[in-house]
Amino acid sequence: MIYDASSFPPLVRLRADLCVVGSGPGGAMVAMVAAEAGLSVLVLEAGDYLTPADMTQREEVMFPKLYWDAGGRTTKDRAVKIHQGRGVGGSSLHNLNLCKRIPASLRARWAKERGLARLDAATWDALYAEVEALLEVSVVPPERYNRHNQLLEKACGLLGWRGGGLSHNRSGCIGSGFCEVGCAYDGKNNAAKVLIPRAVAAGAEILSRCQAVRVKHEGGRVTGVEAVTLEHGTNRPLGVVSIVSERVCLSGSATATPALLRRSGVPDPGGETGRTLRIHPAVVAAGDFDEPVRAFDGIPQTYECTEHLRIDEEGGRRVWIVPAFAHPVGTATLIPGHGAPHRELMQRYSHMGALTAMIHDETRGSVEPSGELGLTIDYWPDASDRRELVFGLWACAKLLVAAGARRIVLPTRPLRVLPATESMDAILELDLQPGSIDVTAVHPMASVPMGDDPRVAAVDSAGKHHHVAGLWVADGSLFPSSIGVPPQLSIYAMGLHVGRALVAQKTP
Amino acid sequence: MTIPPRDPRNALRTADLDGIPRLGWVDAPSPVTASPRFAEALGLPALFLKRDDLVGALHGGSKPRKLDYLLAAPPFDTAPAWHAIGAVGSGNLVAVTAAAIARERRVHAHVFWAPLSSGALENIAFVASGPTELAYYGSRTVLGLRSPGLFLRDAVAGAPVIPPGATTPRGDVGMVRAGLELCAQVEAGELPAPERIYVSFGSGGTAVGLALGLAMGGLRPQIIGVCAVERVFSLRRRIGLLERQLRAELARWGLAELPPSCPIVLDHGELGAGYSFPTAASLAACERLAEEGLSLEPAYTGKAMAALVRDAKAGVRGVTLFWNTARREGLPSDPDWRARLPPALARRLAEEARGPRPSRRRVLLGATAVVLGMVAYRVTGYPPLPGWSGLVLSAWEAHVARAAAEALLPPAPDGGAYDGVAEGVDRYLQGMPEGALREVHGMFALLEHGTALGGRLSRFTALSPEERRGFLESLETRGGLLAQAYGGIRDLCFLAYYRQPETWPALGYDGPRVAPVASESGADRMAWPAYDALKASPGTLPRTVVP
Repeated sequence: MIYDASSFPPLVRLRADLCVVGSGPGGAMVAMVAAEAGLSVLVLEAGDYLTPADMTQREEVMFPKLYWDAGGRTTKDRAVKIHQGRGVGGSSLHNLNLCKRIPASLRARWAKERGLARLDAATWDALYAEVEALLEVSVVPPERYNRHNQLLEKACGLLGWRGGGLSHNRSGCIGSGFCEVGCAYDGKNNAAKVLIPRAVAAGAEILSRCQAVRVKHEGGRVTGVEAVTLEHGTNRPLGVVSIVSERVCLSGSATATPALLRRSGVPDPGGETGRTLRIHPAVVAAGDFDEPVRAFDGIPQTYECTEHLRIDEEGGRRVWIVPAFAHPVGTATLIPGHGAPHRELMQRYSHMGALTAMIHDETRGSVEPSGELGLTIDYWPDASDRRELVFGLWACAKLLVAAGARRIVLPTRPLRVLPATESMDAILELDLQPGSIDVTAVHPMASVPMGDDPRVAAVDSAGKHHHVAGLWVADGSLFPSSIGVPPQLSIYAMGLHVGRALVAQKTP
Repeated sequence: MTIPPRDPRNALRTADLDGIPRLGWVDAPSPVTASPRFAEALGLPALFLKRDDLVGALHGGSKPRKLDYLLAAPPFDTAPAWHAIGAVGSGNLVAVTAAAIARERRVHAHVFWAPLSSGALENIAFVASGPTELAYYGSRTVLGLRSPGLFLRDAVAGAPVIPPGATTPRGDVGMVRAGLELCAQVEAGELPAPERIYVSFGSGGTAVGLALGLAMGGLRPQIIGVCAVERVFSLRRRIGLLERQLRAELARWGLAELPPSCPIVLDHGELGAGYSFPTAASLAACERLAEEGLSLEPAYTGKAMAALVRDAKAGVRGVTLFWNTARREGLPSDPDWRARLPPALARRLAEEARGPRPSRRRVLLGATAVVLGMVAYRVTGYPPLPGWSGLVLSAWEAHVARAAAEALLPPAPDGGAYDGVAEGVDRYLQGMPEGALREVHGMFALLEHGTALGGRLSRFTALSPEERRGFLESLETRGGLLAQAYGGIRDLCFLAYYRQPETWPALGYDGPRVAPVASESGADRMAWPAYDALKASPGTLPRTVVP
């Protein structure tokens, strides 16, 4: 069953074969695999258990429920916004359901650099095939593209740039366009819909409103987890949940997992834990169209431009472009400035198209625990990644002009509104400084990179910690680098892979 | 409100408790003094102060009343050492330390960090100078995580635990006695029967003991328990539990079939930013009471008095009594007391004393602290905000939010939907981490009173919308944290403004497709059987629980 831990007495002690921290794609998958293999499983989730009935399509109601810090999480200098999900199902409750595999060339490079004996090419492919079947992944049919995505497709065609349709894990989607605030129609084949019910049916117990604080370990072995329950409304700690468990799997995301490891003093001779964070930083450009675009209507992202995403090529471009969209609150906070100029742009809301350029990044950021419950993220793109971001902004503007935009709006400080011309090269002169443009990231990853050499990596290619027995990691932390594609499919695959390895190991 | 006449035939007296062992620390009743000038200023027919600060033992306050009984009971009566828990400036630790001196025992004092209020340093100095071993924890949560046994067991490593506030069934008998003591004072004609009694509410034992004791003595005032701690657990449930335990304890001594307790009304209105954070109203109340020769502290009794003042100003009438639970001023300490502190606590106290470090961030936070100090004296004079019931923003902060929205969003075809902005900001902020909320409150103070930085004499809300816009723009151009304050209020205002359906037609936005649900558990909530079936009912414990 799924319990509301905020209704527990002040101290509760629990015992299980496996304690999973986090119930997103990684954690839910591990919980399902382990419970179905007969282990007693406890899952700790800081957020609420929400059903489609809770998804009210109102931003100000849903942000606090679905996102850490109500969507306001940032790096410590506040220059980069980082959206991360909470709730039973994790970020799969609010994500836009894009399904892409990590390019084979990148996986091959990892194998060469990091070993990864437990993850050869055939294993990866089999994991992907299994996850895609489980989540009913399908190509979005072109007749379901909204005007916004059609404009991107048209622009790619006119510029001769590489582009294509995307795949998603939805069934029963009515195209309401409210994906980022949770689906009210149960159209997402996500962790909450597909994995959690199976895990619970196999006996897994899920504690919502319960945040892990520390992994307990002694003499090189895991002994359990200390957690607190969180009050409704305020998220303040209420009581303590103490779990005795010989196996612990951390799936709290690429920020929470390293923060938890470091707060717990888990040994890490290689020193990588929390110091190799990638986030896929992204910038947005908007175009003002004569025709109504109504980007908020229909499936938000169905077409991609990959002209400038050349992961296979040494030194190739690293820019991925998809439509960006937001409801009024998100749009209002994204457009810089205030007063009459801001209001004038807001009144063009339904005529605005927007594209986002997301960077396959190389910058190494860091995550540190802050107090008992918090964490601090330090990240600002290095010069090479900043060049890619500026180039991406230029490419977004080129596409918007090609699609027919009358003027281009760049959310820089100060706000730049440029007439639509063919060149747009002035954008390439921009110098990105913290605060000079909104940089947003939705894909933190690679903060506890797997590797088979225990002198370097903290966890091996099955997610097993090299230095503490019984401790596992199964989330986006595991990737050895940025992946350049939406990560959800690969995180589900990691969950499956780690879950099976964990079950196969007879003694913890 | 009519008070039923007291019937002395059924009333119990303090002598009826004499069968229960105690140390005899509280002998004479603490005095009741009238405060006619203050009563007149507040428009009250009569205001009385119950002066527990003049309780003789252990430097006074209400704590000696509880310890009088608790420490006479096993295992405390014979144990050579006790555990006790409290914040850095805890009055409970002071009373326990004083008791240990009197009884020649030792105390394992578990101290957690909380903001320092006046008198706090004196308290920790006294505790450190006594027969104590101090252990230090960064916060209450850390204490709970590291040493859960202190909250849950009767004894740790052989030494019994005195719980926070010394609230135990036996200790609370001391407050029953206090209630009976007041009844005797009424009977002796020292004061009329009070209709309302204000007392600070921390661990709950004081209010619960009084409510029963007063009823046993034949009085039925309403007890207003003014909360000094966050609503960590359901306080209602806690009151019920404490009362049941107290009645069971009295029944063991032959005191059964007691009358129902006086009603306790919980008042959460004066808590401010949290436990031990002084509020402007509390500081003002402390100052006012100082004129009456009474020393209050802003964390507990100041807040209780602030509630009394607020209610009186709002027109609540009747014979009122304020029960002062704080100790007297002046505690001895060893000149070398700091050397006896755990190093981490000594460092933290030294940091507080040194004040802000000269980084940009610290300078601004320092400025904010100064501004907050000013706020304490400037929170009056705002027009009432009818029915404001925000959980995060105070009423003046709500004014600032609205004023900022008027400045940042010029009037438009939608007529300027400013009325819902403050409420929207408040709702969005509920559930944010405490650190973020501290910064938000600092931001509001900076906006409202930072106008002085730009040479303006008026506060932000008193400026015209154009002047306000000018001030916000000046913040933006100053860069750094001032620009972040601009960005912060801007985003909050836009979020709260554009969430409103009346702003959507101008945007060409159709709005949500599902109807809002009136209540999360209401009848109009849609059923999703496959999801609903997984949900355990609240309070159910997992099967994996270790008994």
